[in-house]
Amino acid sequence: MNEQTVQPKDDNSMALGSMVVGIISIVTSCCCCGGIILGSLAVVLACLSRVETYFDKRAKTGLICGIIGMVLSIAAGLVILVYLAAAGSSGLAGSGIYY
Amino acid sequence: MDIKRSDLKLYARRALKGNWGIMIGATLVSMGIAYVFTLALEAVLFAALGSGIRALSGLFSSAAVTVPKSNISIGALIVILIILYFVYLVAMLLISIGYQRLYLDAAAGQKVKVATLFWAFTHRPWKFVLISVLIALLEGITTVPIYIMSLAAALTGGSGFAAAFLLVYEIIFLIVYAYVLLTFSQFYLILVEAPEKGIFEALSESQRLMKGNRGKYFVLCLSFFGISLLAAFSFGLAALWLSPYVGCTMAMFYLSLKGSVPEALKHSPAETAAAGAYSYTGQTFYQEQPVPQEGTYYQQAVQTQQQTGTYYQQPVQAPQQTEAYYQQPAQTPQQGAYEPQPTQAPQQSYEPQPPQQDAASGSQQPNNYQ
Repeated sequence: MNEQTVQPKDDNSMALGSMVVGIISIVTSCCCCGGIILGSLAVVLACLSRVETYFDKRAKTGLICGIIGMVLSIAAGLVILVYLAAAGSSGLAGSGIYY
Repeated sequence: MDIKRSDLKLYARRALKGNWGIMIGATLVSMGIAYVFTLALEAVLFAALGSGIRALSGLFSSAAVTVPKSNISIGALIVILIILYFVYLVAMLLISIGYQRLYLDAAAGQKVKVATLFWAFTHRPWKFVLISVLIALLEGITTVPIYIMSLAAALTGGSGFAAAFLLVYEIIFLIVYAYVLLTFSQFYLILVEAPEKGIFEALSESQRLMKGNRGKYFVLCLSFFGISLLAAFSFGLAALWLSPYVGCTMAMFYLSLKGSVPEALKHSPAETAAAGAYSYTGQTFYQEQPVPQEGTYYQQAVQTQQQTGTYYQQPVQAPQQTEAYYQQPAQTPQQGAYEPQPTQAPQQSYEPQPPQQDAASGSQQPNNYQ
Protein backbone atom coordinates (compact mmCIF):
# COMPACT_ATOMS: atom_id res chain seq x y z
CA MET A 1 0.00 0.00 0.00
CA ASN A 2 1.52 3.24 -1.03
CA GLU A 3 1.04 5.92 1.64
CA GLN A 4 0.37 9.45 0.72
CA THR A 5 2.54 11.97 2.45
CA VAL A 6 0.62 14.90 3.86
CA GLN A 7 2.42 18.19 3.95
CA PRO A 8 1.77 20.29 7.03
CA LYS A 9 -0.62 23.13 6.32
CA ASP A 10 0.95 26.56 6.37
CA ASP A 11 -1.79 28.25 8.35
CA ASN A 12 0.14 30.56 10.60
CA SER A 13 -2.13 33.53 10.01
CA MET A 14 -0.68 35.42 12.93
CA ALA A 15 2.73 35.47 11.24
CA LEU A 16 1.07 36.79 8.11
CA GLY A 17 -0.70 39.45 10.16
CA SER A 18 2.57 40.40 11.78
CA MET A 19 4.19 40.86 8.39
CA VAL A 20 1.31 42.99 7.07
CA VAL A 21 1.18 45.17 10.18
CA GLY A 22 4.97 45.52 10.14
CA ILE A 23 4.98 46.74 6.54
CA ILE A 24 2.17 49.19 7.29
CA SER A 25 4.13 50.43 10.30
CA ILE A 26 7.04 51.38 8.02
CA VAL A 27 4.67 53.17 5.66
CA THR A 28 3.01 55.08 8.50
CA SER A 29 6.19 55.74 10.46
CA CYS A 30 6.24 59.36 9.33
CA CYS A 31 2.68 59.86 10.60
CA CYS A 32 1.70 60.56 14.15
CA CYS A 33 2.84 57.56 16.21
CA GLY A 34 1.72 55.16 13.46
CA GLY A 35 5.08 53.45 13.37
CA ILE A 36 5.25 52.96 17.11
CA ILE A 37 1.69 51.65 17.50
CA LEU A 38 1.72 49.31 14.53
CA GLY A 39 5.41 48.44 14.89
CA SER A 40 5.01 47.30 18.47
CA LEU A 41 1.89 45.38 17.48
CA ALA A 42 3.83 43.67 14.68
CA VAL A 43 6.60 42.69 17.09
CA VAL A 44 4.10 41.29 19.61
CA LEU A 45 2.26 39.34 16.91
CA ALA A 46 5.53 37.98 15.56
CA CYS A 47 6.56 36.80 19.01
CA LEU A 48 3.19 35.17 19.63
CA SER A 49 3.10 33.45 16.25
CA ARG A 50 6.10 31.23 17.00
CA VAL A 51 4.75 27.75 17.56
CA GLU A 52 7.80 25.94 16.27
CA THR A 53 11.26 26.08 17.75
CA TYR A 54 12.17 28.55 15.02
CA PHE A 55 10.60 31.71 13.64
CA ASP A 56 8.36 31.58 10.60
CA LYS A 57 9.79 33.56 7.68
CA ARG A 58 6.80 35.89 7.63
CA ALA A 59 7.02 36.37 11.37
CA LYS A 60 10.69 37.23 11.01
CA THR A 61 9.78 39.73 8.30
CA GLY A 62 7.07 41.23 10.52
CA LEU A 63 9.48 41.43 13.45
CA ILE A 64 12.13 43.24 11.42
CA CYS A 65 9.62 45.54 9.72
CA GLY A 66 8.00 46.35 13.06
CA ILE A 67 11.34 47.25 14.64
CA ILE A 68 12.26 49.37 11.61
CA GLY A 69 8.86 51.10 11.76
CA MET A 70 9.30 51.88 15.46
CA VAL A 71 12.83 53.19 14.97
CA LEU A 72 11.78 55.33 11.99
CA SER A 73 8.82 56.70 13.93
CA ILE A 74 11.02 57.62 16.91
CA ALA A 75 13.57 59.18 14.56
CA ALA A 76 10.85 61.17 12.81
CA GLY A 77 9.58 62.38 16.18
CA LEU A 78 13.08 63.41 17.22
CA VAL A 79 13.63 65.26 13.93
CA ILE A 80 10.39 67.17 14.41
CA LEU A 81 11.33 68.05 17.99
CA VAL A 82 14.81 69.22 16.99
CA TYR A 83 13.35 71.26 14.15
CA LEU A 84 10.78 72.89 16.43
CA ALA A 85 13.47 73.63 19.04
CA ALA A 86 15.73 75.16 16.41
CA ALA A 87 12.88 77.19 14.97
CA GLY A 88 11.92 78.41 18.41
CA SER A 89 15.46 79.43 19.40
CA SER A 90 16.13 81.30 16.14
CA GLY A 91 12.82 83.14 16.24
CA LEU A 92 11.56 81.57 13.05
CA ALA A 93 8.30 80.68 14.66
CA GLY A 94 7.22 84.30 14.80
CA SER A 95 8.55 85.25 11.42
CA GLY A 96 5.87 83.51 9.50
CA ILE A 97 7.97 80.54 8.36
CA TYR A 98 5.06 78.24 9.08
CA TYR A 99 2.71 80.13 6.80
CA MET B 1 8.56 20.61 37.57
CA ASP B 2 11.17 20.10 34.91
CA ILE B 3 9.68 22.17 32.10
CA LYS B 4 11.62 25.25 31.14
CA ARG B 5 10.02 28.68 31.17
CA SER B 6 10.47 29.14 27.44
CA ASP B 7 8.85 25.76 26.83
CA LEU B 8 5.86 26.74 28.94
CA LYS B 9 5.40 29.80 26.78
CA LEU B 10 5.83 27.75 23.62
CA TYR B 11 3.18 25.28 24.78
CA ALA B 12 0.86 28.18 25.59
CA ARG B 13 1.27 29.58 22.09
CA ARG B 14 0.59 26.14 20.63
CA ALA B 15 -2.49 25.77 22.79
CA LEU B 16 -3.75 29.15 21.64
CA LYS B 17 -3.10 28.45 17.98
CA GLY B 18 -6.49 28.34 16.33
CA ASN B 19 -8.16 29.76 19.44
CA TRP B 20 -7.05 33.36 19.13
CA GLY B 21 -10.34 34.46 17.61
CA ILE B 22 -12.34 33.00 20.48
CA MET B 23 -10.01 34.53 23.04
CA ILE B 24 -10.23 37.98 21.47
CA GLY B 25 -13.99 37.55 21.10
CA ALA B 26 -14.24 36.72 24.80
CA THR B 27 -12.24 39.82 25.66
CA LEU B 28 -14.48 41.98 23.48
CA VAL B 29 -17.61 40.47 25.04
CA SER B 30 -16.38 41.19 28.56
CA MET B 31 -15.37 44.71 27.51
CA GLY B 32 -18.84 45.21 26.03
CA ILE B 33 -20.50 44.05 29.25
CA ALA B 34 -18.28 46.35 31.30
CA TYR B 35 -19.12 49.21 28.93
CA VAL B 36 -22.87 48.65 29.25
CA PHE B 37 -22.60 48.57 33.05
CA THR B 38 -20.52 51.74 33.01
CA LEU B 39 -23.08 53.50 30.84
CA ALA B 40 -25.89 52.42 33.17
CA LEU B 41 -23.93 53.55 36.22
CA GLU B 42 -23.21 56.91 34.62
CA ALA B 43 -26.86 57.36 33.70
CA VAL B 44 -28.02 56.67 37.26
CA LEU B 45 -25.22 58.82 38.67
CA PHE B 46 -26.16 61.79 36.51
CA ALA B 47 -29.81 61.30 37.38
CA ALA B 48 -28.88 61.36 41.06
CA LEU B 49 -26.79 64.50 40.51
CA GLY B 50 -29.73 66.08 38.72
CA SER B 51 -31.98 65.29 41.67
CA GLY B 52 -29.39 66.80 43.98
CA ILE B 53 -29.27 69.99 41.93
CA ARG B 54 -33.06 70.11 41.95
CA ALA B 55 -33.03 69.80 45.73
CA LEU B 56 -30.48 72.58 46.00
CA SER B 57 -32.43 74.78 43.59
CA GLY B 58 -35.44 74.27 45.82
CA LEU B 59 -33.48 75.39 48.87
CA PHE B 60 -32.05 78.49 47.25
CA SER B 61 -34.69 80.44 45.41
CA SER B 62 -32.07 82.49 43.61
CA ALA B 63 -30.57 79.46 41.93
CA ALA B 64 -30.22 80.03 38.24
CA VAL B 65 -30.56 76.37 37.36
CA THR B 66 -34.05 75.16 36.58
CA VAL B 67 -34.26 71.41 36.29
CA PRO B 68 -37.46 69.60 35.26
CA LYS B 69 -39.11 67.56 37.98
CA SER B 70 -38.64 63.82 38.19
CA ASN B 71 -40.74 61.08 39.75
CA ILE B 72 -37.71 59.25 41.19
CA SER B 73 -36.35 60.60 44.44
CA ILE B 74 -32.63 61.02 45.06
CA GLY B 75 -32.71 58.35 47.77
CA ALA B 76 -34.11 55.76 45.37
CA LEU B 77 -31.51 56.73 42.79
CA ILE B 78 -28.69 56.28 45.29
CA VAL B 79 -30.05 52.85 46.27
CA ILE B 80 -30.25 51.90 42.57
CA LEU B 81 -26.71 53.17 42.09
CA ILE B 82 -25.35 51.06 44.96
CA ILE B 83 -27.20 47.94 43.82
CA LEU B 84 -26.08 48.43 40.24
CA TYR B 85 -22.48 48.92 41.33
CA PHE B 86 -22.64 45.75 43.44
CA VAL B 87 -24.07 43.78 40.49
CA TYR B 88 -21.33 45.23 38.29
CA LEU B 89 -18.59 44.14 40.72
CA VAL B 90 -20.02 40.64 41.08
CA ALA B 91 -20.46 40.23 37.33
CA MET B 92 -16.91 41.38 36.59
CA LEU B 93 -15.54 39.10 39.32
CA LEU B 94 -17.36 36.06 37.95
CA ILE B 95 -16.29 36.93 34.41
CA SER B 96 -12.68 37.12 35.58
CA ILE B 97 -13.09 33.63 37.08
CA GLY B 98 -14.56 32.55 33.74
CA TYR B 99 -11.39 33.83 32.10
CA GLN B 100 -9.34 31.51 34.33
CA ARG B 101 -11.51 28.60 33.24
CA LEU B 102 -11.14 29.63 29.60
CA TYR B 103 -7.35 29.74 29.85
CA LEU B 104 -7.28 26.44 31.69
CA ASP B 105 -9.43 24.82 29.01
CA ALA B 106 -7.13 26.13 26.29
CA ALA B 107 -4.02 24.97 28.12
CA ALA B 108 -5.50 21.53 28.74
CA GLY B 109 -6.39 21.15 25.08
CA GLN B 110 -10.12 21.26 25.71
CA LYS B 111 -12.65 22.84 23.38
CA VAL B 112 -12.67 26.57 23.91
CA LYS B 113 -15.79 28.71 23.56
CA VAL B 114 -16.83 32.21 24.47
CA ALA B 115 -19.65 30.92 26.68
CA THR B 116 -17.01 29.64 29.13
CA LEU B 117 -16.65 33.26 30.15
CA PHE B 118 -19.89 32.84 32.10
CA TRP B 119 -18.89 29.51 33.60
CA ALA B 120 -18.67 30.89 37.15
CA PHE B 121 -22.27 32.12 37.00
CA THR B 122 -23.43 28.52 37.14
CA HIS B 123 -20.69 26.92 39.24
CA ARG B 124 -20.89 28.03 42.87
CA PRO B 125 -20.82 31.77 42.14
CA TRP B 126 -21.34 32.83 45.78
CA LYS B 127 -18.30 30.83 46.81
CA PHE B 128 -16.11 32.98 44.55
CA VAL B 129 -17.86 36.13 45.76
CA LEU B 130 -17.27 35.12 49.38
CA ILE B 131 -13.59 34.44 48.69
CA SER B 132 -13.17 37.83 47.06
CA VAL B 133 -14.91 39.58 49.96
CA LEU B 134 -12.65 37.78 52.45
CA ILE B 135 -9.52 38.71 50.49
CA ALA B 136 -10.65 42.33 50.29
CA LEU B 137 -11.29 42.33 54.05
CA LEU B 138 -7.84 40.87 54.77
CA GLU B 139 -6.22 43.45 52.55
CA GLY B 140 -8.20 46.15 54.28
CA ILE B 141 -7.12 44.95 57.73
CA THR B 142 -3.44 45.09 56.73
CA THR B 143 -3.78 48.79 55.96
CA VAL B 144 -5.22 49.63 59.40
CA PRO B 145 -1.78 50.20 61.07
CA ILE B 146 -0.92 52.70 58.34
CA TYR B 147 -4.03 54.74 59.08
CA ILE B 148 -3.50 54.53 62.85
CA MET B 149 0.11 55.72 62.62
CA SER B 150 -0.79 58.49 60.20
CA LEU B 151 -3.54 59.65 62.55
CA ALA B 152 -1.24 59.47 65.58
CA ALA B 153 1.45 61.44 63.75
CA ALA B 154 -1.08 64.08 62.75
CA LEU B 155 -2.38 64.40 66.33
CA THR B 156 0.97 64.40 68.15
CA GLY B 157 3.01 66.19 65.54
CA GLY B 158 5.85 63.62 65.77
CA SER B 159 6.18 62.75 62.13
CA GLY B 160 9.73 61.31 62.30
CA PHE B 161 8.85 58.16 64.21
CA ALA B 162 5.69 57.68 62.17
CA ALA B 163 7.59 57.96 58.89
CA ALA B 164 10.19 55.41 60.04
CA PHE B 165 7.48 53.06 61.26
CA LEU B 166 5.56 53.32 58.01
CA LEU B 167 8.71 52.67 55.96
CA VAL B 168 9.61 49.55 57.92
CA TYR B 169 6.00 48.40 57.94
CA GLU B 170 5.65 48.85 54.17
CA ILE B 171 8.85 46.88 53.48
CA ILE B 172 7.83 44.02 55.76
CA PHE B 173 4.31 44.11 54.40
CA LEU B 174 5.57 43.97 50.83
CA ILE B 175 7.77 40.95 51.51
CA VAL B 176 5.05 39.07 53.39
CA TYR B 177 2.45 40.01 50.80
CA ALA B 178 4.63 38.77 47.93
CA TYR B 179 5.33 35.52 49.78
CA VAL B 180 1.64 34.93 50.43
CA LEU B 181 0.71 35.82 46.86
CA LEU B 182 3.28 33.41 45.46
CA THR B 183 2.32 30.65 47.88
CA PHE B 184 -1.38 30.83 47.10
CA SER B 185 -1.04 31.84 43.45
CA GLN B 186 -2.62 28.61 42.24
CA PHE B 187 -5.62 28.96 44.54
CA TYR B 188 -8.07 30.23 41.95
CA LEU B 189 -6.94 27.76 39.28
CA ILE B 190 -7.43 24.87 41.71
CA LEU B 191 -10.94 26.05 42.51
CA VAL B 192 -11.72 26.70 38.86
CA GLU B 193 -10.61 23.19 37.95
CA ALA B 194 -12.53 21.61 40.81
CA PRO B 195 -15.11 24.03 42.26
CA GLU B 196 -16.34 21.39 44.70
CA LYS B 197 -13.11 21.65 46.69
CA GLY B 198 -13.15 23.59 49.91
CA ILE B 199 -11.38 26.89 50.39
CA PHE B 200 -8.84 25.56 52.89
CA GLU B 201 -8.28 22.44 50.81
CA ALA B 202 -7.48 24.62 47.80
CA LEU B 203 -5.18 26.80 49.90
CA SER B 204 -3.22 23.83 51.23
CA GLU B 205 -2.98 22.30 47.75
CA SER B 206 -1.67 25.57 46.34
CA GLN B 207 0.89 25.69 49.15
CA ARG B 208 1.96 22.13 48.39
CA LEU B 209 2.23 22.77 44.66
CA MET B 210 4.20 25.98 45.06
CA LYS B 211 6.71 24.55 47.50
CA GLY B 212 10.08 25.09 45.85
CA ASN B 213 8.48 26.74 42.81
CA ARG B 214 7.85 30.24 44.10
CA GLY B 215 11.01 31.62 42.50
CA LYS B 216 10.16 30.07 39.15
CA TYR B 217 6.69 31.56 39.24
CA PHE B 218 8.09 34.95 40.21
CA VAL B 219 10.58 34.91 37.33
CA LEU B 220 7.84 33.72 34.97
CA CYS B 221 5.72 36.71 35.95
CA LEU B 222 8.67 39.06 35.50
CA SER B 223 9.47 37.61 32.08
CA PHE B 224 6.34 39.22 30.64
CA PHE B 225 7.58 42.70 31.43
CA GLY B 226 9.21 43.32 28.05
CA ILE B 227 6.30 42.21 25.91
CA SER B 228 3.90 44.10 28.19
CA LEU B 229 5.93 47.23 27.56
CA LEU B 230 5.58 46.66 23.83
CA ALA B 231 1.84 46.17 24.27
CA ALA B 232 1.70 49.49 26.11
CA PHE B 233 3.41 51.16 23.13
CA SER B 234 0.59 49.90 20.94
CA PHE B 235 -1.89 51.80 23.12
CA GLY B 236 -3.28 48.56 24.50
CA LEU B 237 -4.12 47.10 21.12
CA ALA B 238 -1.65 44.24 21.56
CA ALA B 239 -3.20 43.46 24.95
CA LEU B 240 -5.98 41.68 23.06
CA TRP B 241 -3.43 39.00 22.22
CA LEU B 242 -1.17 39.39 25.21
CA SER B 243 -3.78 38.78 27.93
CA PRO B 244 -4.74 35.31 26.69
CA TYR B 245 -1.06 34.50 26.19
CA VAL B 246 -0.15 35.43 29.76
CA GLY B 247 -3.22 33.72 31.20
CA CYS B 248 -2.63 30.56 29.20
CA THR B 249 1.03 30.47 30.23
CA MET B 250 0.01 30.72 33.88
CA ALA B 251 -2.49 27.91 33.37
CA MET B 252 0.25 25.91 31.67
CA PHE B 253 2.47 26.51 34.70
CA TYR B 254 -0.28 25.13 36.90
CA LEU B 255 -0.63 22.06 34.69
CA SER B 256 3.13 21.57 34.75
CA LEU B 257 3.08 21.66 38.55
CA LYS B 258 0.52 18.89 38.44
CA GLY B 259 2.43 17.07 35.71
CA SER B 260 -0.53 17.12 33.37
CA VAL B 261 0.67 19.17 30.43
CA PRO B 262 -0.94 17.66 27.31
CA GLU B 263 1.52 15.55 25.37
CA ALA B 264 0.19 16.95 22.10
CA LEU B 265 1.60 20.37 22.93
CA LYS B 266 5.10 19.01 23.41
CA HIS B 267 5.36 18.36 19.69
CA SER B 268 5.42 21.09 17.12
CA PRO B 269 2.66 21.16 14.48
CA ALA B 270 5.19 20.18 11.82
CA GLU B 271 6.32 17.17 13.83
CA THR B 272 2.72 16.22 14.45
CA ALA B 273 1.79 16.43 10.80
CA ALA B 274 4.87 14.48 9.77
CA ALA B 275 4.20 11.78 12.33
CA GLY B 276 0.60 11.56 11.19
CA ALA B 277 1.73 11.14 7.61
CA TYR B 278 4.21 8.39 8.34
CA SER B 279 1.90 6.37 10.49
CA TYR B 280 -1.22 5.56 8.59
CA THR B 281 -3.06 3.85 11.40
CA GLY B 282 -1.98 6.77 13.52
CA GLN B 283 -3.45 7.86 16.80
CA THR B 284 -6.27 10.17 17.52
CA PHE B 285 -3.64 12.58 18.79
CA TYR B 286 -2.60 13.47 15.29
CA GLN B 287 -4.88 15.96 13.68
CA GLU B 288 -3.38 15.63 10.23
CA GLN B 289 -4.41 12.22 8.96
CA PRO B 290 -3.33 10.99 5.56
CA VAL B 291 -5.93 10.57 2.88
CA PRO B 292 -7.16 6.96 2.86
CA GLN B 293 -6.22 5.01 -0.21
CA GLU B 294 -8.69 3.11 -2.26
CA GLY B 295 -7.16 -0.19 -1.32
CA THR B 296 -7.47 0.69 2.31
CA TYR B 297 -11.10 1.53 1.88
CA TYR B 298 -11.65 -1.75 0.22
CA GLN B 299 -9.92 -3.64 3.03
CA GLN B 300 -12.02 -1.86 5.59
CA ALA B 301 -15.18 -2.63 3.66
CA VAL B 302 -14.28 -6.31 3.49
CA GLN B 303 -13.47 -6.43 7.19
CA THR B 304 -16.72 -4.71 8.06
CA GLN B 305 -18.73 -7.08 5.96
CA GLN B 306 -16.91 -10.08 7.37
CA GLN B 307 -17.74 -8.91 10.86
CA THR B 308 -21.36 -8.33 10.05
CA GLY B 309 -21.70 -11.51 8.09
CA THR B 310 -22.77 -9.77 4.96
CA TYR B 311 -19.59 -10.49 3.13
CA TYR B 312 -20.67 -13.93 2.10
CA GLN B 313 -24.10 -12.80 1.07
CA GLN B 314 -23.27 -9.74 -0.90
CA PRO B 315 -19.97 -9.58 -2.60
CA VAL B 316 -18.09 -6.41 -2.09
CA GLN B 317 -18.19 -4.16 -5.07
CA ALA B 318 -14.56 -3.62 -5.72
CA PRO B 319 -13.51 -0.46 -7.45
CA GLN B 320 -13.12 -1.08 -11.08
CA GLN B 321 -9.90 -0.83 -12.94
CA THR B 322 -7.80 0.26 -10.03
CA GLU B 323 -4.49 -0.97 -8.90
CA ALA B 324 -5.72 -1.29 -5.35
CA TYR B 325 -8.34 -3.80 -6.39
CA TYR B 326 -5.74 -6.20 -7.61
CA GLN B 327 -3.80 -6.03 -4.40
CA GLN B 328 -6.61 -7.71 -2.50
CA PRO B 329 -6.51 -11.45 -1.84
CA ALA B 330 -8.32 -13.34 -4.49
CA GLN B 331 -11.51 -14.50 -2.85
CA THR B 332 -14.72 -15.33 -4.50
CA PRO B 333 -17.71 -14.68 -2.30
CA GLN B 334 -20.11 -17.56 -2.02
CA GLN B 335 -23.74 -16.77 -2.19
CA GLY B 336 -25.60 -17.73 0.96
CA ALA B 337 -22.60 -19.22 2.75
CA TYR B 338 -22.47 -18.04 6.34
CA GLU B 339 -19.26 -19.78 7.27
CA PRO B 340 -15.95 -18.68 5.87
CA GLN B 341 -15.09 -20.84 2.92
CA PRO B 342 -11.61 -21.74 1.79
CA THR B 343 -10.33 -19.47 -0.84
CA GLN B 344 -11.18 -20.68 -4.24
CA ALA B 345 -9.40 -19.87 -7.36
CA PRO B 346 -11.28 -17.21 -9.25
CA GLN B 347 -12.48 -17.75 -12.68
CA GLN B 348 -10.42 -14.90 -13.82
CA SER B 349 -7.24 -13.97 -12.11
CA TYR B 350 -7.32 -10.58 -10.44
CA GLU B 351 -3.63 -10.21 -10.87
CA PRO B 352 -2.73 -8.14 -13.87
CA GLN B 353 -1.82 -10.47 -16.67
CA PRO B 354 0.95 -9.69 -19.03
CA PRO B 355 -0.18 -8.99 -22.54
CA GLN B 356 -0.58 -12.26 -24.38
CA GLN B 357 1.17 -12.47 -27.63
CA ASP B 358 -0.73 -14.06 -30.39
CA ALA B 359 1.81 -16.20 -32.12
CA ALA B 360 -0.14 -16.36 -35.29
CA SER B 361 -1.01 -12.75 -35.78
CA GLY B 362 1.55 -11.14 -33.53
CA SER B 363 -1.06 -8.76 -32.12
CA GLN B 364 -1.59 -8.09 -28.45
CA GLN B 365 -4.74 -9.17 -26.69
CA PRO B 366 -6.45 -6.36 -24.81
CA ASN B 367 -6.06 -6.59 -21.06
CA ASN B 368 -9.36 -5.89 -19.39
CA TYR B 369 -7.88 -5.33 -15.94
CA GLN B 370 -5.74 -2.43 -16.71
